[in-house]
Amino acid sequence: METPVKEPKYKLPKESLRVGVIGDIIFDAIILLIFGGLFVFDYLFVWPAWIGIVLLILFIVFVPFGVIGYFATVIDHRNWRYDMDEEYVQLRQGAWFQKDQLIPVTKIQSVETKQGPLLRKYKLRKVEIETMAGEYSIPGLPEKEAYALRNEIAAYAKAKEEDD
Amino acid sequence: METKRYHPAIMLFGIVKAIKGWIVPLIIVTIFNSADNWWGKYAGYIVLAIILLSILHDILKWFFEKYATDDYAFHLYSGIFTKSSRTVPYEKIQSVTKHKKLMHRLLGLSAIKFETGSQEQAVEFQVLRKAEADRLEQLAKQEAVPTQEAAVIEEELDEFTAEAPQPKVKDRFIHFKPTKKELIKASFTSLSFLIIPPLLVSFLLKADIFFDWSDVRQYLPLLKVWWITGIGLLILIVLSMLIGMWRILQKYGNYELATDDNHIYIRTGLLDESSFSIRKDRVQGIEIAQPLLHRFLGLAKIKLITTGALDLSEDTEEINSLYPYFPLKRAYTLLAEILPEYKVKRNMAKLEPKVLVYRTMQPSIIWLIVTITLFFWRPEVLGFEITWWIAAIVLFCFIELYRYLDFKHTQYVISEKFFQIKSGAFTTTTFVTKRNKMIEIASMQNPLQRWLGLATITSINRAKPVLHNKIKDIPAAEAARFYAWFYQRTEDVRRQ
Repeated sequence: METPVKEPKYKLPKESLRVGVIGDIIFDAIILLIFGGLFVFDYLFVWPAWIGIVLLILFIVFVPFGVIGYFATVIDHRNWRYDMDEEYVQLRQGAWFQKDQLIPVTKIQSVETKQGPLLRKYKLRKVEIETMAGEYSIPGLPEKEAYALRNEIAAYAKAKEEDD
Repeated sequence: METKRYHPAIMLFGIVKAIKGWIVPLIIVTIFNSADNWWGKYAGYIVLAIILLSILHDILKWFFEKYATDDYAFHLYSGIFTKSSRTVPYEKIQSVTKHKKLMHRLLGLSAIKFETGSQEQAVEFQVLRKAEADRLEQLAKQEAVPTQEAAVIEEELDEFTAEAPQPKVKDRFIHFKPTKKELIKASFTSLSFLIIPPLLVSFLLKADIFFDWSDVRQYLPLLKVWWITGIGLLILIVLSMLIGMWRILQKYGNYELATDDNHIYIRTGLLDESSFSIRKDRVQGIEIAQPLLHRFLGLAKIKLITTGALDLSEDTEEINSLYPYFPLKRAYTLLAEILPEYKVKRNMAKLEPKVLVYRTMQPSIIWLIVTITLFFWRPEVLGFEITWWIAAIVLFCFIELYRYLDFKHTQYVISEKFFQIKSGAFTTTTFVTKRNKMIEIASMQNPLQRWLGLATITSINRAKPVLHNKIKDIPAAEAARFYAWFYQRTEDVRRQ
């Protein structure tokens, strides 16, 4: 009886995948640095043997997680969808574990765009939506699109329901 | 617009609160203090200083904090050094709680709190004259009533200013007041009498400061005389029941549930009195809960889901739950009476049988952890080694029973305007809300669910904190219908 809701159609741009992967690389590099530092200290100060073993186990566990992390970033990026109309914002995330969210614009309290150094390099902006229930963010849109989306949501969100 | 100070008795309440909060530490560090170091010597002065500072703070606060009211909003001015002012429009107010502690009642005062939303802080007046509290409540209510009924308000206002302790508004109808019989039944259902024996035992075990157990031993043979033991037990039982009844009487002795055209009023408490009022259309949902014992006795608890938290301070009970010992049938008819807009359905859709199969076959992580731990650790209880495989089997049966009950109780309805779900293994909870009161939804699917054609849906409602309700493993087609149904939400939302 209810007509099915249109699937959200907008995808994230290619550049945002690059930002995601670079973010992963930086994160992994920091972790590797920490591990390296700990191993060096372990060697220099002759820490008890078990610390070396624990470090080694942690390192072995970490490596596959790091590798999976890159796949996850790619898959997440590919499956991210968003859409909006006059009444609702729709978000979809995940491939295996898929999550669809439907947010009435009247319940949106604020929209922000944000930019870190990485995003700036690729001229992207993050759009953050705050609602009564929580915060959602669209991780990286071309600047123009981000501003347009922000303005659009802000314009629609002006409408208030009697209850609010 | 006239700005007012709060009632001066607020300082008295502050003093009492400071003393009440710090008297025990003070006694400990002064009288029972045998420490020989510098900290022990000065601890008494430090605690005393804290008490004095907190009292001083309350006095300064009284001098600097003011409030005002006009036709549209509360204006609150606060801050000793940094001044701040806050304006809260009446139309933002979701519900009103009045609370009178014994001390309030002795002095003819009242505390009142206006809840404004999930995230904002409530507007709270801790001490007011009763007439002033009534005036503020009436002001806040004004917005609630459409303008054509303004005449009615004026009448009500007149009656409020007359010194009737409980203003009798004409159309106010009392739906429920527990009778003596119902109170007695409640005091048994609450099981609060059961807490007495453990309390007594733990007290006796700790009471050896006052007497020596070896002195008591000579009286122990008396327990062999049957009538002494009998009388002792009888006294214990009667005492427990009396205390249990007193606890229920304290809470529900003066209970009253009433409504008029637009509002619901709940009053509770015998010595400390609380009353709560909310506009009917501000109710965000209803929760009907049945713990195990309630289910056996056919009773139910009803709770109104509202945007604000409903306890006035930490030490008062939440009063948004209606009288928690209604017979189930009565609960339903009562709901229909006080909130006719809500239609609670008795026939609900159940989960498909395949869900039970897949749930019972799922490995349980808790079971694995416990079994592995027991296998290696093998603890002894009361001198008996726990046989790990027996414990594992018992736990397995319990987990499967839990899963079965949870499956059996999980039901849902997505009807034209309502969303209703029931869940829980031992305590079952039915939650009903309207489509326009839901502020967000989500639907989720994991790989296994996709393979089986199932999905999980979540609804989010305004409450403090925000209320998430989840139902797992409904057919994927139903989840899609739910999604589409919510998409049509604008049909029953009135825009401003």
